[in-house]
Amino acid sequence: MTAETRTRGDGVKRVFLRLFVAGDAPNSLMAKENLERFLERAAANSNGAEIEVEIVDALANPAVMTEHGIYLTPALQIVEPAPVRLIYGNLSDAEALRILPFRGDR
Amino acid sequence: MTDGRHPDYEELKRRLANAEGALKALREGQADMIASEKGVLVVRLAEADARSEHINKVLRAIRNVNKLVVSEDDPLRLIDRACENLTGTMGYLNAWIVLIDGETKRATAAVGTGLCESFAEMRERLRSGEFTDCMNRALRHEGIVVTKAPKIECPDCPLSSGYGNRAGMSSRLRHDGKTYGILSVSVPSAFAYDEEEQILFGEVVGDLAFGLHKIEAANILRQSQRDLKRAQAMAKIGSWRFDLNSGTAIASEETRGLYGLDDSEWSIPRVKSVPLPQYRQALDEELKNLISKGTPYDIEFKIRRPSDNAVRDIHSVAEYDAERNIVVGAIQDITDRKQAEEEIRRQAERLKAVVEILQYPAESLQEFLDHALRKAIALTRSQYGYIYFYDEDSQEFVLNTWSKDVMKECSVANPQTRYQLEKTGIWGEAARQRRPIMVNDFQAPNPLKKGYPEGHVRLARFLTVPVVQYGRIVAVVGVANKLSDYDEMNVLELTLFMDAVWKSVGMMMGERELRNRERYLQTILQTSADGFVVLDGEGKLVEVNDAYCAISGYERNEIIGMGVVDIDAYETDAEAASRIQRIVSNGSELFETLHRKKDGSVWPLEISTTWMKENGGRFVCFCRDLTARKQRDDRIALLGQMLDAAPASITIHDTEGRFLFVNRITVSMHGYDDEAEFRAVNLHDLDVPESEALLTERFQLIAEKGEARFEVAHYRKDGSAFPMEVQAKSIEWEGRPAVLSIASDITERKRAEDELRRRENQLQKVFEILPIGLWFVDKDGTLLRGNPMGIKIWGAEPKVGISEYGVFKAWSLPSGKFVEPEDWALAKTIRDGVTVVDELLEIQAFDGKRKTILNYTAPVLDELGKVAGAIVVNLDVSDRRNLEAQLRQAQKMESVGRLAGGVAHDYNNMLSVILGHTEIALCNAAPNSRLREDLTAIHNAAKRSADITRQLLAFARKQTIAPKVIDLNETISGMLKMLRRLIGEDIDLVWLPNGGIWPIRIDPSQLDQILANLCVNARDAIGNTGKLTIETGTATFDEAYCADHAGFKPGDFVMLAVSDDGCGMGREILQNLFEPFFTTKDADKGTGLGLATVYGIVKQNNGFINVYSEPGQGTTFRIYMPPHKGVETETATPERPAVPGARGNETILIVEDEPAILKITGMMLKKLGYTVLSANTPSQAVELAREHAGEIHLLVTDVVMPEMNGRDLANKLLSLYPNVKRLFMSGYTANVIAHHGVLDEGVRFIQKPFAMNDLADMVRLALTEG
Repeated sequence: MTAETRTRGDGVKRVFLRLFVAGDAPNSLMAKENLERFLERAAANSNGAEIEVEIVDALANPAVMTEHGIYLTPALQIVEPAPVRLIYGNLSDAEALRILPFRGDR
Repeated sequence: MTDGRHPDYEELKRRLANAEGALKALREGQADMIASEKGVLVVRLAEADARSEHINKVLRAIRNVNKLVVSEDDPLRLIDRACENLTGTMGYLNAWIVLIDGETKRATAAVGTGLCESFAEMRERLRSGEFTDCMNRALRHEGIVVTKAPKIECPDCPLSSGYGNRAGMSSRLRHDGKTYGILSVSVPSAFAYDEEEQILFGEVVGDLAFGLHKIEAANILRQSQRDLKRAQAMAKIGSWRFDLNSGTAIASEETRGLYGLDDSEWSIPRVKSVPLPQYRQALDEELKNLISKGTPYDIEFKIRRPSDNAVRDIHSVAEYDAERNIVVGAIQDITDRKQAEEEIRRQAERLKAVVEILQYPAESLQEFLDHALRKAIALTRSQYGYIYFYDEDSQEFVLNTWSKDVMKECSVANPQTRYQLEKTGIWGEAARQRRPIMVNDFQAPNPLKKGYPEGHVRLARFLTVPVVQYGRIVAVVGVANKLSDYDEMNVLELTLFMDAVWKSVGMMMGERELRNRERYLQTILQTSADGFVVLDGEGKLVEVNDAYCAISGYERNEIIGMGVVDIDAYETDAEAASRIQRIVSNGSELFETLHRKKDGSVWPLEISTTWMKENGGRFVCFCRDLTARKQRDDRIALLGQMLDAAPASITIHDTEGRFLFVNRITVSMHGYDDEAEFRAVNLHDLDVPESEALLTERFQLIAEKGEARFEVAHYRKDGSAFPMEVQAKSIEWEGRPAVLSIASDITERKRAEDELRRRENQLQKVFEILPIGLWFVDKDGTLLRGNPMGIKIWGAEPKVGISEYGVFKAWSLPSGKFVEPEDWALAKTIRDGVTVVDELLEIQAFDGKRKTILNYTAPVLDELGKVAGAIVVNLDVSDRRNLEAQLRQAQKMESVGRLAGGVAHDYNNMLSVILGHTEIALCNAAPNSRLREDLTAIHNAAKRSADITRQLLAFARKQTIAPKVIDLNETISGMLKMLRRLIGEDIDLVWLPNGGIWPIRIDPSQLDQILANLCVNARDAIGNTGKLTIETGTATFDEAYCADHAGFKPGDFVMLAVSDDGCGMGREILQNLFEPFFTTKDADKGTGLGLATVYGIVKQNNGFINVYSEPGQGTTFRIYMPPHKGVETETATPERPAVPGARGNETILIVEDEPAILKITGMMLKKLGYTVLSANTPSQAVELAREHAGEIHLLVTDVVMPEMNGRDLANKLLSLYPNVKRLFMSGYTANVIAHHGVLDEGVRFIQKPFAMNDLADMVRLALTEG
């Protein structure tokens, strides 16, 4: 569990993301990378919103997945702003990330 | 869900969205791990693609490995059998796996297949801790390490040689962060970076890693379970004590908590009521057995916890303390563990279902899908189900199968089997929304529902998922009425299962397609008329079709297994081997060879062979029997050769004039070297304009009549034209109307025809102008045709046969005997076939004329030698006979002339002596004396003799003449007086001069002689009274006239005619007219030299004489003299003045070989007063001249002398006496001093014999005038 970048978003006070990964499994690594890259690009568009990312290694603690109703990793849970939403997969699909409250455009 | 609550619609939607997202991630391979409530599992998606057999094989390998993964529980056996499977299905050509200890990082085991002995060395190296390069790389890297060309990149690796040209793919076998080992396989290098290949390999790696992990995990699990049980027993997580003595039960707090009973509630009956009823008896018995028999108390059971009514799994162990008679036990809530175990069991069930479905040996697709549906229903614990095919393009569902139960319970009379998407209700949503649709409260209102038909089974819960293949929905599967709610796990497992099903469907369809194709191909090959054989890599026949058997005469079972060398009758073993090598490296080859039939004969064939690497290599050979084709080719080649050898042009052209075929001679005939070049020329362009203009007409004619014959002219390449005769025929060529032409160059024939015509014309001309009569006679003797000369000879064209030969009158010459018709040479020739030559005949022509002909007849024989006709040649020799007579006459005259000339010379010499001496004697004789009378008579006779000799000389043209150019009319006018006196008064002399005549050149004395002789003859012919006409004129004769008139010469002439109306002459007289001494007169009247003299003079002056005379009608002599056409008209020199008293005293040298003449001439000159030097020979004369002291004024010399002629002597003397004058004397004119009898100007000549007066005059003249 690691705390990540905090910035401000447009009209959004706080963004809290939870990324479920399975250790160093390929897709999990890719998902981490993709998310990091997305957030780097998004930093300029975040308008000061505070972004917090929690990374959960499901391998270490499988129970945490059922706790959150997650069936497979990697999965990105958008906890805030509500409602809670889920993105499955390694986040290589830019379309999937569009449901985030800011854009990762260049 | 397990809480039993029905979620609301929004929640359901959210869950479905999540499930869909999860599925999508799963499908796209973006998932690492699937979690359930109680555990973690890893799924493998068989990302298989059936697009190539390789993939299928790999898939099969994967399937097998998959199966192993499920069933195998020993890692060594797993990797061993995995390797076997990976290579056994031909998925990979070799494979090896090295297991590595996670702690020590050392290889613990290694297996390999497809690598032979080299793997032993590998094992050795691994034992010493040495890893290959690819292993090290694979251990370091996540994913697949590709060694593109192991042979080059890893020369040191003992395995590299086993890879051939293939690439290696290696990957660590890693699961859940732990590396179990390394798998390496070889694949065709082209596939090494293929994404699918890598995915599949990744699958294998994942499977194996999972398998190894599973085995390890299972081992750990078993160990843990044992540990746990021990731990539970030891730790007494929940503990209780049952005192048998008191019948009381004491439980720890944890135990009470597990049972959901608080302390007050804890009592034995209460405790016994907590377990579910089905476990109660077992629990009692277990306890009883423990107490009575001491068997271990270890039991699992379910309780319904009174506190929350939850059902929990409880594990309870107990021990009996017999001493105290108490039972001590421990319990543990194992609900979670049980659920985890259930999940694992279900997961295994799912995997088994997938594996089972992949392996299901379905007879048909339908059966397979029926089976799949049953399995899907069972897997999702549903009661009903269906599978609809879906076509995205038409948006149409087609029912494939309903579950049996549906059909049983559903009373829909005729279930609709086709649905349009738009008309479907909620079950179509899976296709509409392209995601699974889950409805757990089907009876609740739902906007998507459209109701189902009457009699449809009542639905409580419903789940439908789309089956997606390559991004397209291909089917939907629906299940219904699970007893509990459907959940995401059902969605996942149904989706996964259907994915697997559809992969099998795809494979089955592919396989079925393949089988169909195989059957189809097999049918084609067996029914093919061409032979078909398959050879294995060694060249042994493994497959053969009926056609090949039929051709070769072998039975199928006889020929299978034979080697190609056994049936090939053409190639040597070495050739066959190199051919095989070539085919293997090139992939295919087309060649011709000979195969031996069973009966030993051979047949030619064309083989198209393809090398297929699969199944150890196969040569697939199509064998085309070339026997017929060879025969046809041979025939065609022969025909081609024949056509090429044909001496005629053979062509085929279409109706547009394009040549479709030409033989060789056509090309050369047109002056082309190259057939292609010729073929590029259109017939229209070959025809010369005249021929081309008629081309359409020709085509029409050929089209109408089917064939035609005509002549055309074509251009050659060089632009020249030549004539051709063409026989054209309408044919069909390759389905289109065309024209076959056979043509020959008729240049030669035309030339021959022209030549023949020309020769015919020539012969006709010859026939016409031939101066020989020519007759053609048929075999019956009928005269067919005669040439103009023949007709001229006979005076008419007699069309007569042999029986009418009497009309011809002929006399054989020289006998003059009449020739009877049967004796005719022609009759004999026709009759007997004899050839008659040189038959001399006198004939009477049809016009009455008599002619002398030479007759020749020759038979014309046919090929059998029989007389087919005859040719008659008549030569009119009448004229020739006349000419011959004339020639004979002329020759006679010439010889007579020569004789006369020779005699006259001697005569003259004698006469000179006689006359000289007589004259001298007369000078001395007394007048009126008897002597004088005698001398005078001698003198006269001598003079007369001299005249005769002079005439003889004139006839012999030995007269020495001095011609002058004269006007004939003038000269004759001057002679008329003398002539009148000559002919006498009784004869009327008519003088008819023609004014326009040309001058002639002649010695006037000769003209005198001519006229005198002719007039005297005319007078004698007239006899008494009559008329004598002298006439002059001109005449011109051409060659043609002369040819017809013997003796005439062509050219212009001056004519002198002397005619009389006297007695005339007959033929005999005319023939001898000009012969000397021929005379019709009395002996005293003529000497017979008159006309001979005339003849000689005319000839000497290049003229000729024509005599026309008819007995009793008179005679006309026409003398034709050539005109003198010189520029000046020479007038006659005046007569030289007589030299009176021609005496002198000069010195004269006389040279004469005749002593008598020398003597008399000397005497004469002395008498005339001259000084005379006499010499008998020229040498004497020269000597005398030298010795002579004084002047010599004149040389008088004979012309013909033995030593030296007079001329040479004169020239010699001139050197001594340059001023000496010369006088020649001769009885004979020779060319010595005169050219052709004509004296040079200034040369003096005196004819012997001469009178003294004449000599005196001539000497005087020579001395004075030179």
